[in-house]
Amino acid sequence: MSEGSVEFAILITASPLQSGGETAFQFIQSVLKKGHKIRQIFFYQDGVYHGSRLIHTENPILITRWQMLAKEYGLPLVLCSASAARRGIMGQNQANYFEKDTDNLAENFCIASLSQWFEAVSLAERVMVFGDVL
Amino acid sequence: MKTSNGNLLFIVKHFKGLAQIRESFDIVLAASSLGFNVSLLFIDDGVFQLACPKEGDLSALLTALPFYDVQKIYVAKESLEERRLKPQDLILSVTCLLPNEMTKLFLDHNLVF
Repeated sequence: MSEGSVEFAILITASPLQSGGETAFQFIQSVLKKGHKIRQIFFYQDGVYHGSRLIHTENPILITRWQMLAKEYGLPLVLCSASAARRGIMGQNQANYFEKDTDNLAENFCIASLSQWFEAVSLAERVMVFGDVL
Repeated sequence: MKTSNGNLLFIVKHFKGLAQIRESFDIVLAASSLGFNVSLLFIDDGVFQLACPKEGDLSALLTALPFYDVQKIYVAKESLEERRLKPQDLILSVTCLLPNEMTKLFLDHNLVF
């Protein structure tokens, strides 16, 4: 890691309809441009809606901007498995497991458990939370 | 944080229904089971969460916290008083904190959610 560079783990609980999602994106884009690292972006509670490829809002470009960041910087975009299942956001594995007729996980996102988040917390130097947790 | 057993503080600010609070507590229980030292602080309308009826699923969830190694439970004294609540109205035994004691609590934790 280059000198002065800080590694972040980011938790997002704000839905794509709340300002927290946009704020998180702006923050992440800025720290990456400054040469810092993002170990993981973990979407929890209503934050998992960011990972649905079927979402349609007045701000439809947020999801494509997440995907662009993921591709450019190799960022892991991780959805909490329990939160995602409760909100009907599933990859192929989850859709098969829950016997659903389709999946809707957006490209470049993956689904994992909270232990994956805390592993990132243990290894990162800074943690940022966007949206309410409790 | 660069440590696997840091001190985490979770702040409960809102009153939520059973399904929502159960999901919110997933992260608290996960942190505790993964070896983090977990404390909870109830402030604002979050204190109503501890003033729920003694019977029922909500109180069962909260009274189970000590069994998940979540032992340190704090409440903002001002938030209780503003809502005409007393510590004995709550379903868990808690430590009441003054504003300056809350500042110290924040400083004692590596991470605040």
